[in-house]
Amino acid sequence: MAKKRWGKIVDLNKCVGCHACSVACLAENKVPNDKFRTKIIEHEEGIFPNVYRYTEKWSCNHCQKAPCVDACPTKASHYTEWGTVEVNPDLCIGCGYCVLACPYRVRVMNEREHGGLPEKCTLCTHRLEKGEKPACEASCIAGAIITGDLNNPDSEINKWMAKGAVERRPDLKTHPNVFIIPYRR
Amino acid sequence: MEHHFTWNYLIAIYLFTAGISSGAGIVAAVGYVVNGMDERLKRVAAYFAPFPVLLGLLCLILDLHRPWNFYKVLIHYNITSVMSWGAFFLLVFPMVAFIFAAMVYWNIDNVWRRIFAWLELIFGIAIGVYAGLLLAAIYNNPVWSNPLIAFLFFISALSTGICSLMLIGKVWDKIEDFVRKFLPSNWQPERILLTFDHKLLKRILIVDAVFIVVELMVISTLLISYALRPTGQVALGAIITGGYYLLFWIGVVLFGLTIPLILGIMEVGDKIKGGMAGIVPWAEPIMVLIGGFILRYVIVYGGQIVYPILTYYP
Repeated sequence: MAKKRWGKIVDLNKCVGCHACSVACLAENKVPNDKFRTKIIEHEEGIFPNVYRYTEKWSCNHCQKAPCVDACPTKASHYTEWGTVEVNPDLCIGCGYCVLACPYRVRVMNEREHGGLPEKCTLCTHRLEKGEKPACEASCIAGAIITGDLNNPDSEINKWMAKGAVERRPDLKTHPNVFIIPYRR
Repeated sequence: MEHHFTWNYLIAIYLFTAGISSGAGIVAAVGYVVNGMDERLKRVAAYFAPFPVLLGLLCLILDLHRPWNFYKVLIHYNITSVMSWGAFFLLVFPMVAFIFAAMVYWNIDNVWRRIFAWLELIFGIAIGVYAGLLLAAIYNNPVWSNPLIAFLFFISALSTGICSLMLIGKVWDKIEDFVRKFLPSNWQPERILLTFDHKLLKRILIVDAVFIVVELMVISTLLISYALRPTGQVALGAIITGGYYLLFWIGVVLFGLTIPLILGIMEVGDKIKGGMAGIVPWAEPIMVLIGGFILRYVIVYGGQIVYPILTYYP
């Protein structure tokens, strides 16, 4: 059996910007005080009078060629066996270089009294391995999020891939495991 | 979106002190590799070089969010990480500089001192360039991801290093007396007496003026290279038209570079007379040092108030 490669797709046409994923993530991962692993960013685009706005779920893209892993001086940021990016607390010195190196700005440093680790999405691999959905997907009221094994051609996520999923900032050549279906008016 | 300052003024202090050590170390090493440099200047440089970077290392450890883990950076290396290279340079440079200073103090004149002079030159350049490369290696940051930052910090490191030597050299005898007060009475080494005279100070001012002119040229090139990029408006907005523009124009360009340059040229030409005579060897280096710190401060904070292009779908 092929190795698993966990991935995620967010459909911006379905996302309503309710912040449920954001709050569910805080509860599931016990994120310290006012930090977020996933948040909603708002886009306002178009030229008057044809203007429109939409929301986008914003979290770690789990790049296959991650700038944060390249930048980490102690190899604390590393790739897991499922292709996701995680931080090893035993090696992390809390220098903040990965937070600044991330071109998507998804990491935030915790204060020292909360461990001083960079706060980031783990794709809820602890839930995925038990066969459950990640907290964000389970809480999404619009069904805009799907996670699954990108290496399994029969999985639901690969059916979504065929609907026109694209990488964020493909020009950066980070090759993320998290895709989006862009907003179409 | 609000701004999270991941790196604060402690990083600016660290970049600044590492630059001073780098500049002083390069002067000391060049002095012993090439013949002809003034004996007092190269001795002061060799004695002074290891100390500022130690203060910088203290700031660096204080800034870590997991400071009890800091030794991990010295035993786990990642070849793709600029910071990992920097940790290696910062581990080796103070050792080399201390050994070299001891060799100079005890007048050990053999092949080993020559080897350590070359080592100090190599690691001095490495630290001076690394300070800027640390920021330049971060991509998708409109202010930092520019190789000219590394060159700018290196030139500034040479300039601030020379200026700190000018200050130290001017009051060396007083520093020596101050240090001797803390040494036990039965261990008082013989006096060194290295205070710079006016002729030597003028020669240093000429060299520093050259570095200041180069620094001004690098700054203008940097601003143009910002403007030529798609994210240029954001970067220039953080540094020269908004955000930290007052600190940049008044603190760095006017107070830190232009006025010291004019003062230095006037002093070399003996244009300053009367009650103000003799003030330039104090004012020029102090202004350059303050300007050098403000430059690091502006770049470190300016790079964190900008937001890069996050979303782009083809």
